[in-house]
Amino acid sequence: MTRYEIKKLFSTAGSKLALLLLLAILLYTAFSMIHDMSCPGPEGDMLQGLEAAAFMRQVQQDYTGLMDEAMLRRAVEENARLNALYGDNAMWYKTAFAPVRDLMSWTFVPAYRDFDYSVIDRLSPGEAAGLYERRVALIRDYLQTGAGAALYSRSEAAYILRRMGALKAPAAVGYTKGWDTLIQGSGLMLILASPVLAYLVSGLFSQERALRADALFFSSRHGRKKAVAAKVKAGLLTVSGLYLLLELTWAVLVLSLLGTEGGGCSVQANLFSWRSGLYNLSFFEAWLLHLACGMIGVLFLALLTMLVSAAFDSTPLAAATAFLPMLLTVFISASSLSVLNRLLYWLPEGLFLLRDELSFEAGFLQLGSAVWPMLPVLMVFYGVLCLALPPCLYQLYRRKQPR
Amino acid sequence: MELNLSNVTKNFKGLTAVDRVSCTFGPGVYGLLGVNGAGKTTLMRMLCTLLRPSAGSIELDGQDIFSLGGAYRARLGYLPQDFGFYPDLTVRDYLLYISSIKGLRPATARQRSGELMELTGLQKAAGRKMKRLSGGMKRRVGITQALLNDPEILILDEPTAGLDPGERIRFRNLLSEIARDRLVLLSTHIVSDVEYIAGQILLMKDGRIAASGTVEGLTSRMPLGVWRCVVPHRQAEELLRRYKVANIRAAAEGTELRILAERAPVSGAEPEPPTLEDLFLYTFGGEGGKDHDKI
Repeated sequence: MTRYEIKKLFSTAGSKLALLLLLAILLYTAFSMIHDMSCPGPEGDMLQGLEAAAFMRQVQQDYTGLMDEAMLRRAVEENARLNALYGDNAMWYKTAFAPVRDLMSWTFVPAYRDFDYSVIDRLSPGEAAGLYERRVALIRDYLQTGAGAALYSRSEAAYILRRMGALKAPAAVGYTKGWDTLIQGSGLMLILASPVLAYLVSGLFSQERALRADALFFSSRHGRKKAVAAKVKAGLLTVSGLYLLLELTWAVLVLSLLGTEGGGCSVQANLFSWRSGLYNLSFFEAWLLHLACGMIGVLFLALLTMLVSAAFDSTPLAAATAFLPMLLTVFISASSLSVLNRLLYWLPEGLFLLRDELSFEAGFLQLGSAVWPMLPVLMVFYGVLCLALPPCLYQLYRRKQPR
Repeated sequence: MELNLSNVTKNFKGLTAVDRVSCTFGPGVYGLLGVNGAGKTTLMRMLCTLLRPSAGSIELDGQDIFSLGGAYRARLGYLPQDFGFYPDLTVRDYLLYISSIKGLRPATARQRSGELMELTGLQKAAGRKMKRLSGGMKRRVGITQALLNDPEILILDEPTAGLDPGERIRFRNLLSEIARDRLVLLSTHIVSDVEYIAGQILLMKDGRIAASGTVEGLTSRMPLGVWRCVVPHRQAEELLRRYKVANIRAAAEGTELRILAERAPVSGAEPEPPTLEDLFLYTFGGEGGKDHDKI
């Protein structure tokens, strides 16, 4: 039964078009992510794309391992040596320790949001060794006396500082372009692909009435029970199967092009997480977390679409529902109402953008003095919905009366 | 096996589509005759558990069919008036899908659909997409799917709609072949469809069973006689206004009429044995073609 429901789904021209669109999204994401990659090369030229990745992969081997005091000192000393040797042209030779230098540029600055590219030139090796302590001090200032004081409650600030203090130090660093691109690109890909995946199941229930096949369906032996369950199962299997296929294809593509090294490196030692990250995760663990969040997100969207399809017997309405969260994000982002803006934290899109959700800037849920960051809140909230919706869908559709 | 309807009524927002219908069906072929809007489809949809009666009950061997649920539907084959299908599935896949929701095991489904495709002459079209089939072939697929589970109760709503005369005859022969030991309820407004194959006829009018019985029994109880006469064209127009006329045919010596009347409408009119079509005309008069197709 389930097999034929899936066959029915993929037999339409719209579904075939959607599959082509998914492939196009995958290729577009790969092209844009890899093409945008760049770094200074050894010949005084800017390297781009795969060439840049290959060069970074080669030279950053020297700065792989724990980013401890010795490594921080070494980076500052090497920077001073290159400055002395090449003067104004020294930037072309700093790619090897660029990730470590960038973390210093974000840390040894007056305020939380500042960035000073040349800060490493002014640091002594001893000062650089205090990188982790300086990071916590920077956040503390931001939350207690800076702009953050107005944005976060006392409980939230205390929670952030507690979590920041618990981050592993020293963190593992190295060449992580493959894993970083894998997670970042996957988020972009899912924003585009999730409505297409949900669109695929938009006609699962409504087409029975549209094709006037509902009378036969409901008058069959299993039409009020197993056949309805098979529809729900087919929808979930289709979406989750295609999601995993898309993610794994993306992973194989990216890691084979950019390299598998860096899976064990700390996410917190990466630019996107360095100053606001709350989690002790390796890149591999972060990818697994991203896979789980993405699965919850796409299943929720698909279930919502199927529910509309079953409730209103309208494929166009169900297909429009698939794009609703994306439109809501655009609408709310453009709004200046703070109440609406708080809603942004709750949209399922957060589940696709793991890099953003690892940060405390993704917001919190506070009940009394208890504080939870939004990532686990979203996972539980949408996870529970994903568990609750299939039985609702089943009960709704099995009671339908054909016209 | 006995399917018993007791005061079955169905109301739709102020309209009574089926009005206190009571009857009992056993094995045999039943023809449900009525004009469009008489309530045939609503009655059949209730028998298929698609609609719940507003009042009354439908029982199979003493048990409510809605309580029986899947167990009842496992014994049911249904061809709806609007036979919907999945246009991009092949005939074979379509039949295998319907087999699966009817609860047939895959091996049985393959064997049964193969046998039935042979019986209905669909083998050559097995790999063809449903949307590429002619109207007659789609109807044949419809009949095939209704038989997949070897149903004891077969409900066919306007099964010959859209078929050409040759296909109608083939369908009647097929139905005669498969009707043995089953309860077959056939709804139509085409009298000749049921005249030869139905053992029992039910005439449905305004949601009620107006009359029921065998063709002979029903026609013999018709209170009007049937007369054949040939009259000049001008007189024919007057007779058309005064009587129910079952048939008109231009003849060399004037117009030949088949008239339903108590007494001979003109001198020289010859009595004829009444047919089911005459009874249909007597019962429904000039009704039909109302905008109640689905009722």
